[in-house]
Amino acid sequence: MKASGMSRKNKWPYLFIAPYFVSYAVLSLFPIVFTFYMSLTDWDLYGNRNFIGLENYKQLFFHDSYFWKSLLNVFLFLLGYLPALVIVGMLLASVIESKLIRRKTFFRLSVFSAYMTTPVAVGIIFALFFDWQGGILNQLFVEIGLLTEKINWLGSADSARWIVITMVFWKNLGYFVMFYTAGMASVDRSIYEAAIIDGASAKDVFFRITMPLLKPINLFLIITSIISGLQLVEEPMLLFSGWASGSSMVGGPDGSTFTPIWYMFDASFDSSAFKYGKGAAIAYSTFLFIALFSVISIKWFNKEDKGR
Amino acid sequence: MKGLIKWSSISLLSIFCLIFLFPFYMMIVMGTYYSEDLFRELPILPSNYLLENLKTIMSANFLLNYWNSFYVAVLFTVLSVGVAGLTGYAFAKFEFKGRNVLYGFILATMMIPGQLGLIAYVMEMKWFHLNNTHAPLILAALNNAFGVFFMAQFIRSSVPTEVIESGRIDGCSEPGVLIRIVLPFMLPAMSTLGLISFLGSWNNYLLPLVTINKPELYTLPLGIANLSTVFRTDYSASILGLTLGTLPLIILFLFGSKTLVQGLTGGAVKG
Repeated sequence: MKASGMSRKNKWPYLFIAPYFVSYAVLSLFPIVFTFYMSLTDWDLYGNRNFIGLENYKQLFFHDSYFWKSLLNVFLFLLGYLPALVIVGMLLASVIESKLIRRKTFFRLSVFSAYMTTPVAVGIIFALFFDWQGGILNQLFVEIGLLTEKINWLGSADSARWIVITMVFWKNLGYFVMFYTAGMASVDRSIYEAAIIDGASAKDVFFRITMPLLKPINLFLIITSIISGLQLVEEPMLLFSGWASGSSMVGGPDGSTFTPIWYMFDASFDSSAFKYGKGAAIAYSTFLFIALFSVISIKWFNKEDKGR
Repeated sequence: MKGLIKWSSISLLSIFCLIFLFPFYMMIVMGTYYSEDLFRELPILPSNYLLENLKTIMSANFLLNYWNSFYVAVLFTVLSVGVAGLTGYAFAKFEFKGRNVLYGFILATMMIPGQLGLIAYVMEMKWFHLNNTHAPLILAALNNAFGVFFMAQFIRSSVPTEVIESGRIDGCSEPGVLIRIVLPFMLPAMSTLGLISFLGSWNNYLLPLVTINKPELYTLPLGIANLSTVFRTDYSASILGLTLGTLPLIILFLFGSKTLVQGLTGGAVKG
C-alpha cells in the first residue's frame, strides 16, 4: 500500500479510530473479560458471588451430558447444511449469472428473501408447516394418499434435526448465493469467453475456472459459517416455542435440537435458574470449540492450496 | 440445442425459486385466514379475514413496536456505518504508529463470537441503568469489526490516494477531505454495510429478549412472539404482523440489491 506521506505526529488518524476503540473497550472487551471472571464464580440472581475456580467447567465437561449433546447437535447440523449450501449455492449462482438468465434481480431476490425473513417468522412458519395435527405437510400428504396416518415430525428426534437443517439451509442459501454472485461479477468476463473459444465444456468451466476463483469467498463463507453455526440458537429455539399443537420444549424432543448457546440462554436468563456463572462457563467452553475448529479449517484450506 | 439448454435451465431455476418462495408465500396467505381455519383446511389460496386480523394486531402494541424497531434500526445503522467508515478510512489511507498492530487486533476480534460477552454485557447495561431502554440494542452497533474490515478493504481499492492529496494541497482540513472528497467514493460500500446492519438490527430477537421486559418497549419480533400469548393463540394475526414486518426489508432490498452486489464486489470479496 502506498503511504500517503503524512507526518507520523498527525493527530487525525488517532481521532478517527478513537470512537471505535473506546467503545470496543467499554462495550465488548470489558464484557468478554468479565464474562470469563463470572465463569469462575457461582454468580446468580440471588446474590451468590463466590469464586469457585474451574468448578463450572468441571461440571460441564465431566458431569453434563446436555452440554455434550448440544455440541454434538450443532456439529450434526453443520455437516447437514454446510456442504449443501456451498454446492447448491455455487451452482445456483453460476446459473443466475450465466448469459441464459435475464431477470437476474428477480432470481437473486427470491432466493435472498428467506434470509431477510425474521427468525420469529421462520420459526412460526416451519412449526405450522410440520405440525402434527393441523400441519400443512401432513394434510397434503394424507389428501393425496402418500400417508395414511399423520406423522409427528416435530416430535421425533431424527425428523426434528432434519427440520432444523432444512431451516438453516433455506434461510442461508440466499446469503451464499449473494456472495458467489458478487464474486463471479468481479471476474473478468473475457476469461470465460476465452475458455469457451478454446472448446471448454460448461462442466470444465465450472470446475476449472469458477471454483478456483471462488476459493477466497469459500474460505470466508466456510469459516464464518462454522463460527455462526456453532452458535446456532434462534432457529431451533423459535421452532419449539409452543406454536400450534406442539408445547414449548427446551431442546426439542430428547434434546435433539438443543444447542450450546441455547443452553447458555436457558441457564442464565430463562427458567428459574439465573445461573450467570454457569452460563458464562458454557459461553467460554463453546468459544473454545469454535476457535479449535476455525483453526483446523483454516489449516485445511492452506494445505489444499499448497497441494496444487 | 442452445435454445433447449436455455429453456431447461430457466424452467429449472424457476421451479427451484418457487419451492424457495413457497414458505414465504404461505406466510402472506396465512395472514388472511381466521386462525382456527388454518388447521382445518389447506391455506393455499387467500381467505377473507385480512381486515379482522389487521384490527387484532392494531389493538395490540403493533404500531408502537413497529416504530421502536424502525428507529432502533435507523440509529443502529447510522452508528454502525459511521464508526466503521471513519475507522476504516483511517486504516486504509493513513500511516501512523501502531497501525498494523491495531488493524491486526480488529481482524483477530472478528473471529470472536458475538455471544461470548453477552451475559456481562446485559449485566453492564443494568449497572448503567440502561436495561429496559433501547440503548443496549443501539449501542451494540459499535462492536462491528467486520464493518471496519469491510470499509478499509473497499476504501483501499476504490478511493484514489491522489484525490485525497490534491484536496490537502488545496487547503482542505482533514474532516473536510473526508466529507467532501472521500465520502462520495465510499457510498456504495456504505449502503451495502447499511443494508446489512439494518437487516441485523431489524431482525434481532435475542438481545431485546434479555434486555427488555416492558411490552411498550418491545421491538417487532418480540412484540409478535408475544402477540399470541396476549390474546388467544392467534397465529393468523401474528403471521400478518410478520408479513408487514418483512415488507420494508423487501422494498429496501428490491432497490438496493444492485448496490449490495457492487459493494460486496469492491469490498470484502475482491480483497
